[in-house]
Amino acid sequence: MNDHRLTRAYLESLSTDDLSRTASECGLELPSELNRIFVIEEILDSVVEDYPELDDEDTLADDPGTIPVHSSLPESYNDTFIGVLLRDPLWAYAFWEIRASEREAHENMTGFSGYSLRVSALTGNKPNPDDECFMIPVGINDSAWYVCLPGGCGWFKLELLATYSAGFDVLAASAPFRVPRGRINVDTVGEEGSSPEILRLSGLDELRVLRSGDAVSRLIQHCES
Amino acid sequence: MTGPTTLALVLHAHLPYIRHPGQTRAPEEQRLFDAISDIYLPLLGVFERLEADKVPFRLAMSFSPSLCEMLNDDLLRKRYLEHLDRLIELGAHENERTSANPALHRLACLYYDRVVDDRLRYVERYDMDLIKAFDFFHKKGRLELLTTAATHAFLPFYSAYPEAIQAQIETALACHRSFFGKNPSGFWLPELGWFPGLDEYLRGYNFAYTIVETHALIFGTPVPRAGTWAPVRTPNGLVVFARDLHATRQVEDPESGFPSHPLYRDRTRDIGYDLPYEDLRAFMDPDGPRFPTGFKYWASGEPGEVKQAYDPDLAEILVEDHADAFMDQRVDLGSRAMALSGSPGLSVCAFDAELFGHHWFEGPAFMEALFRRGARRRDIRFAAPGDCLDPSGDLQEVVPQFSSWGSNGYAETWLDSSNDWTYRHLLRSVVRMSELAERFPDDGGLKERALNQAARELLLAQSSDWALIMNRRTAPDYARLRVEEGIMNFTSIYESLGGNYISTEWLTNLERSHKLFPAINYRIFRKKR
Repeated sequence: MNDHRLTRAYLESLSTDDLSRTASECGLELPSELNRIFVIEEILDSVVEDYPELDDEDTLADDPGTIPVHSSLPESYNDTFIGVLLRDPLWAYAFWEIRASEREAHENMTGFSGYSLRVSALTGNKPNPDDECFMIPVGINDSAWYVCLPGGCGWFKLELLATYSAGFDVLAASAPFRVPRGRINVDTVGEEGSSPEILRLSGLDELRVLRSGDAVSRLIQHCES
Repeated sequence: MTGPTTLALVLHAHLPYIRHPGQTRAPEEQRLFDAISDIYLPLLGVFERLEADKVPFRLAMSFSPSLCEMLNDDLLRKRYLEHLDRLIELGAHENERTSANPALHRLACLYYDRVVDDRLRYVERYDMDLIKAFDFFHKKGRLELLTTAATHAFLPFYSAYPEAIQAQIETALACHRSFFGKNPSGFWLPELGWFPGLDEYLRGYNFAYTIVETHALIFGTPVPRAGTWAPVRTPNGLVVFARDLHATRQVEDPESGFPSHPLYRDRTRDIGYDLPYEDLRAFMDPDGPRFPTGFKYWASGEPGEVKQAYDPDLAEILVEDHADAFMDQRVDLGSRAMALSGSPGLSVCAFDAELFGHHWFEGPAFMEALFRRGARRRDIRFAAPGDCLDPSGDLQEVVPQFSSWGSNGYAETWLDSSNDWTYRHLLRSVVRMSELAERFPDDGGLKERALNQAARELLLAQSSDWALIMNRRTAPDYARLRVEEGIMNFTSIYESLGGNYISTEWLTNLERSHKLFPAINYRIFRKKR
């Protein structure tokens, strides 16, 4: 078996029988009825583990030469910003950038200790001095994080801070965003005019949704840009 | 005493814009050809038979603008015909190859006849214009039409970018009008992605209703009195229907749903994956990836058991049983809901059209059985959501919660480590596109062409399908390429405009490749004042 032939394109050209045979030759014991897509992924994963250089080869196989002007994604947007996307009632994805000149100025200042995210639970959808908040230190070269939100629904805001021994500067703030309630208490729905029976008829007991307070559905890796 | 339960069937027809004029037999274009053969032609066949037999039927379908553009594209139409011709050749070969096995031979003949019939209907009956064919049933009052976001962007991710949402909606409306002649009253949320506040945009464009996933309403504020058995009205006046979760489970559950029955056709076993290339020569490029042909000979069977040949006669009987079971459950739950809450007992059964014919081969037959057998019942009536808007305005006011129909009910399908890198670029490009639209409010000529193409490229990159494909790893390299391509093309135009120079040749080539939304106006990205 020549492992260097095991590219995605090659595997996609194989018949299902040949694919199973290749998986066996790679030492993989897979259920016979596993979907082709997963068989291909398993084989590619096993090859990457054995021959990490193949991963680079795959990347190099992309042909950016067809793009006449820009042949890669912008490395930066020459701006300072933070964006937040709500993933579910537990997690939000924050991504940010600090303009190079601004970054240099902060990092050269006396007492600079790094960057942080400040997560604020807003009492309304506008900032308030009494808002509860917590800080998450992030790496100096980080540009994105999955942020675990405190349980319960409500409005939140994320800010990107440069921190110093004597305080911090707010570099960018997200728009306020609302976290949904991920569960309801059937004992109290009567107060809202509904009833447990009608909600059960609507499928409440069979919902397959991530509920706030549940264990996280799967491990989420801290991301890098 | 309660009245009949109302069953509102809604099918969402969508595909991402895939068109590769410079490539002969691009494997990705196969998705459209499969959808035409597996879903759209069979559905039209169902509608025609029902109409011919005077069986009353009523349902709703949404057609995404990107799908409409592809169905209307001359190059793709021509390529679909070539695809059918190759299938006919393959079918002839299969008739011969299976001649020694009566069970398989019968199926091979059936599939061969079907492909020949597809070609005949597509060319002779529909004049290669499927949009017009569906519009015929719309005009007859059988089909209610909805639109969706122009390129099916997952709208909750753009909640902080009003211009992006408006651009998706305005482009969709213009496209729908150009194909169907009038504005739709319903808006299908891409991936059923909803966030509180979206109603303001939809009402702003005069949409009357939308449909959300079950928990969007059950977890709404306040919890609705009638659960999902009646529509609600948002503070901005948009009527919102929720999917009937029990109906969803009956049809979509991978383990207990109807399509998983052992007697139905196995959708994964296809000669395109099973046979050696010599037997597929007529259909497949030996150096390219394998893909399904539609020649599937096996029933799903029980896990671990030897596969048996698919028997269409047994499946036909089963389809009728399943149609009855589906209606029985709607009536049972609907009447109990009516008794409990005084609600109208409305069951909104909303599905991806891909299920009916593509994932579930017998899906169109199930739908036909539903309408035929339903017509004989007094305890059920069929309607489209637009028939259930309650113009008297007595609907309860509820704010549905952030939700989607993806894994675990929120946004994780479109936001995980496989695809999260895209959003930095997509969202910053929205900011840049708005900036361009403000900076060049009245430009014409070459600059306007460039700005319009920039808007197209950005919209194309926003399609939720790329994130989904990366998440499911079905063709992640292709999906990645499509997002990168859109962003890079957009950025190239952005910087060209900044430098006041653009290559006309490059722009013209790009316009020819990505020729959707011919009437697009980049000013849709301007801030609304």
